Amino acid sequence: MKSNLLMNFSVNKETITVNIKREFNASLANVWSAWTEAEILDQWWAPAPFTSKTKRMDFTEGGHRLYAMVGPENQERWGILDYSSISPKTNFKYDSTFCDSEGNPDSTFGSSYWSVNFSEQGDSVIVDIEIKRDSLSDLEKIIEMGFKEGFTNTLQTLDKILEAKK
Amino acid sequence: MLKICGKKISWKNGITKIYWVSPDTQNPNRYSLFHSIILKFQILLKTQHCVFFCFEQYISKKTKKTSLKINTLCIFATDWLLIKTHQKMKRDIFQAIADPTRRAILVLVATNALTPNAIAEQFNTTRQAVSKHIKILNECDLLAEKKIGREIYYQLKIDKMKEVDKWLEQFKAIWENRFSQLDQVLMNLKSKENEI
Repeated sequence: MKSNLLMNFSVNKETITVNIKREFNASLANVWSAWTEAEILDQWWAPAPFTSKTKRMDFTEGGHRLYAMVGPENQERWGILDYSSISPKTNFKYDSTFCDSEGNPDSTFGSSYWSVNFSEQGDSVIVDIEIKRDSLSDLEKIIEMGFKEGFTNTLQTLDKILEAKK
Repeated sequence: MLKICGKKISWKNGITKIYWVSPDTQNPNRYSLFHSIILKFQILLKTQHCVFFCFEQYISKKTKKTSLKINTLCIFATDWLLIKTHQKMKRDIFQAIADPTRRAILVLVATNALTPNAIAEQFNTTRQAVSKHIKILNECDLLAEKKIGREIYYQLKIDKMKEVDKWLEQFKAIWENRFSQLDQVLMNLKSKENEI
């Protein structure tokens, strides 16, 4: 197996778009399945120790996937994907939004618009992802949230807890 | 320096410095530390959030004493959307780019050194509002001041903007981690095919 698989990652702040390109050492059929079948998606989409759990998935144009990221304490964070366009083994597009366990969207963070491209290159497959955000203010919301004064204070308290632990 | 699920060890005056990322399922001590921290955080966190800490651990060779510091905290929601991040001992450069007017000012002064008046002319807001933005950018150490005659000219410090790229690097690390999980899944699929 090739150890140095190509990976490109770029962010365009003007167009609020994230581009990710990655090479996979597998057949196009398998890579496509891994992205489009609930059972396989759930095996890799979440970061360990979190797991991905698909409640329902209808991979057709106009269909959707309702899934949760489940934490070690069984915390659930739900998301819904609305598939808008599917060209088998070539491309699929979807809108991704946070929601509740019934799939009712939560607009707090806005939606992300995904386009996932697949192409063969020799023995490997290139997956080219474009993620676009709704608006610049969405991105601002995300950035701003992280830097509240109070948060810094909490971290200092944490440092003390850690000090006490050693 | 920081890599999700990776660590780097360096030596300085007989002190070992280790970077590690929590939750670390391979190490029960680190895993339980992570959970004790999460408990303290409960008021701040929505239960659904995914949280990662990057720790710096110092071990003195002489005294064998260990101290821990949180270097970075990232909070993600389902979509691998980074919704909160905190980096220790970093000036708040992200506050600078969180405002559209300040971003526009940064673009203006990226190519030319401009006086506050020349900057203000580009906007529909009051001069006072613009000078407040300049003040914040200055506090973030993003602007270089140059005095020519009686006028002060401002220009972007390009080096500082690179810190924003560090923030994006974390996002990249998350994707790298996710893809290595996918690599494993694809390898399993392949070996299943071979069995058939």
